[in-house]
Amino acid sequence: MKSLRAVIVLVVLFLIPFAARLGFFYRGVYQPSPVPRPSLSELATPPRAEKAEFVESATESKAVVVFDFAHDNNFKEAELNVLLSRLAVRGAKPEYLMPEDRLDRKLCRAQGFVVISPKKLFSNDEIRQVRHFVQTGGKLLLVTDPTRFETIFDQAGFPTGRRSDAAVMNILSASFGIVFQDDFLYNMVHNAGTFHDIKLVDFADLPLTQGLEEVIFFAAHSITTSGKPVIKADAETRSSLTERQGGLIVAALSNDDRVLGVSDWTFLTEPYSSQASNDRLISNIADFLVTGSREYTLADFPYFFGDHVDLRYAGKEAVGGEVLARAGVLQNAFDAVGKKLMPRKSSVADSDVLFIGLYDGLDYVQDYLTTRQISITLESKTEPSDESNRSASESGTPTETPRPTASASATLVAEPTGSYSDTLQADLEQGPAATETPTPSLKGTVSVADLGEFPTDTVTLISLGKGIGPKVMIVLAASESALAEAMGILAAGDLSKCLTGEESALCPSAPVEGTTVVMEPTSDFYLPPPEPEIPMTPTLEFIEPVEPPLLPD
Amino acid sequence: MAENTTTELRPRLRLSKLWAVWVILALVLGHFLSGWLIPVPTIGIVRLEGDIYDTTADYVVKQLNYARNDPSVRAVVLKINSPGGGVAASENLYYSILAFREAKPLIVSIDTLAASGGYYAACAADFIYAKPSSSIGNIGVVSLLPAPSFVDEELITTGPFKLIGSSRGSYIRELELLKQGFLAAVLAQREKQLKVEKDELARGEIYVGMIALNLGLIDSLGTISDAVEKAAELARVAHYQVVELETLPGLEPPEPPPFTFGNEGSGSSPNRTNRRGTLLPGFYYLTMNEAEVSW
Repeated sequence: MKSLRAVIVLVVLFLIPFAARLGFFYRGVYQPSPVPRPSLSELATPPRAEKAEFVESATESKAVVVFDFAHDNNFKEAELNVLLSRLAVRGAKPEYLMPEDRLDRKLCRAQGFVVISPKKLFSNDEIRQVRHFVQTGGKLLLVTDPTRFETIFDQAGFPTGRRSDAAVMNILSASFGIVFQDDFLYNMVHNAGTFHDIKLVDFADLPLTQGLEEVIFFAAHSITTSGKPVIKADAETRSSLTERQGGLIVAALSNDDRVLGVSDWTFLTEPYSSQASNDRLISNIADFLVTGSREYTLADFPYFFGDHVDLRYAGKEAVGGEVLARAGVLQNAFDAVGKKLMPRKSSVADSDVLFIGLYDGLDYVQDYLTTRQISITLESKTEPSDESNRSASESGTPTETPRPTASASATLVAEPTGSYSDTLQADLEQGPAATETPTPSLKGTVSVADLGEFPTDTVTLISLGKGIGPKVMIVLAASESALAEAMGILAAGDLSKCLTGEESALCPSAPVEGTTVVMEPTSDFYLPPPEPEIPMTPTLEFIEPVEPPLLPD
Repeated sequence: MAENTTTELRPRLRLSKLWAVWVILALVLGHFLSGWLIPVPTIGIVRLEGDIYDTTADYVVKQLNYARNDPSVRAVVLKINSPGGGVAASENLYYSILAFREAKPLIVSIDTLAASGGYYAACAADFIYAKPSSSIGNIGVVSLLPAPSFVDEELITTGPFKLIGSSRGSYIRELELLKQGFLAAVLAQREKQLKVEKDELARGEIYVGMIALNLGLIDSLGTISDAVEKAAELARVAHYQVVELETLPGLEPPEPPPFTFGNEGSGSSPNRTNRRGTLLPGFYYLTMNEAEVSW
């Protein structure tokens, strides 16, 4: 018994340190609470966006649409595929503005101009040219995208920030009452897969929104406009910049319906173009670009012409070598811009025509002149040699039918007896003496509604009609030399010494010496500055020898 | 008589001495054995620094496994300073922390940053401390869109997306699904504490500690000392030692892999500006500043 007690005491003594240690270090036993696990099996991927049925219904158009590649534009060529295909279906011809091209020259013939995410600012001159383009009926599409920004690097090559395309575009777009905000829109609740892919259902009643049910923009700036909102985001959509909700505009049209600002480029590219009603919206934008009518001015010569232009002679007598030479210069001028100017006996239907001739060839162009409110009155014949060919007095609508001339010196005749090659051959056989015979000036008056009345022997008439359809330009002069001078003016593209009206210009018959007229562009009329002469083949003649500086002894 | 008394006392004295020896022996033995069997409780410190990639996540998980299996480690404080990283690596941390909590408490102490995948890991803890100025949140997913599908004349594949993996549209929707998964993971742990709508969290904002506390993204403001005390409290230990687990033998940090995503750490190394360029294909719970994105 004693031994048992002793053992118990010893065991107790042995356990005392354990108890003390436990009591010192611990206050109980950790009881873990249930650890919840996320139930991920209930989650599902967002549904694919519905693809609305799309059937292309295009209207035929021969419009030229220019795409801007001259302002360091932040898009890839392949991204143009969708828009190009829609334009191709409509028969429109795309052209591209490259950095070496002159904007005003490209826009001369264009019906539409597309600017996408520029990184390089438009200059003041370029903005004026674009404004002139829009004022004369051109359609302008301005596209920005929050995903297209320029990274700014410091001198060491480290990125220090970014510049939004909106800031650059606004330099141009603000002229038309459209300002892109440097933000992006997002919708955390009802989106098309992710927050910045916003669903759009609020459309204005405009041709641009015909047939739209739901459009998806894949990151878009918001737009402030003094024009017409075309597409608005819903009330849940917010701006990343202001956190403002509701009424945010993503596409806007200027008040004159000629400038469309769209704040997303991605929806115009594949594969995003096929989601929801995006296809329909892109087609509507293509229609926007190719429809309408440009009001061309004389300053746009020769860009307002199509690819093939008929050169017709309006006059009773054949013209000489001086005019022939200038016609060659004109052909070269057309060739330089990718167009063909070919002499023809009669115009092909719906083709563009350039009439050149003397004032006595009125009957060929009288209908056009009447429409353009131009009247020409010629005095009775002044040259005996012309009696056989001219009536005693010609005015307004001549009744005499032009007759073919027998002159061997002519190269371009109204109704030649033989082929053009025949007459050209005849001209060559006659030699230069025949073509150098000066022709007398036709006396009379030319009256242009918005310019006034002038003696025919002092001015040359250049006229271009407005309106849709083939372009018909008329150049009438009092003499061959005056006609040649006018053709030279056209070939040089410099009308700065001419009195210019809405549809017509009156240029001096003889060269003006020592009077340099500088015409300042106005808001009503814009004359592009003359193209700077760039030597195509630099030679050693251009290199000025430089004497090395003398070193002090 | 006196001799008799002395004779009687000697055996008693001998007996007393024997008892004393036994008592001392029992106490000493008990002392040593208790020290061996009942070690000083340890609060282990585990650090999650920099980008979360496979190696960093594996290293943290290795330390957690050690702590779970070591009886002396009664709780762990996970100190986080991370902008996040790969989705799979972040998920590895999240589920490892949940598994650890089934055995021992785990407290998170956010140092400067627990964003995206960093917060994904943090929210799995029993309790989250952060400093008033810590950056917390940034819930969401980052990825580079796959290249458009293409075909190659020499490299033959059996499907249109065999080379790329998915169409861009599918990829974006998968990205959204991962974001929903992130939100579900946060809600599973903190639904009771959160005072903010799920859609608000999905905006991906980063909040300072004070606001994160108001929103319920963290539990309290405090430093790692507070976290250690909280860990001890949950583990029900009164006296303890604090050990950095990475200092223990066999738990040395691994060498970072050469020049891949996550190699640059979370400091202001110039390499961080190269992050976009070094991002490998895949999904990331990751926060990036503008300079890193713009590269």
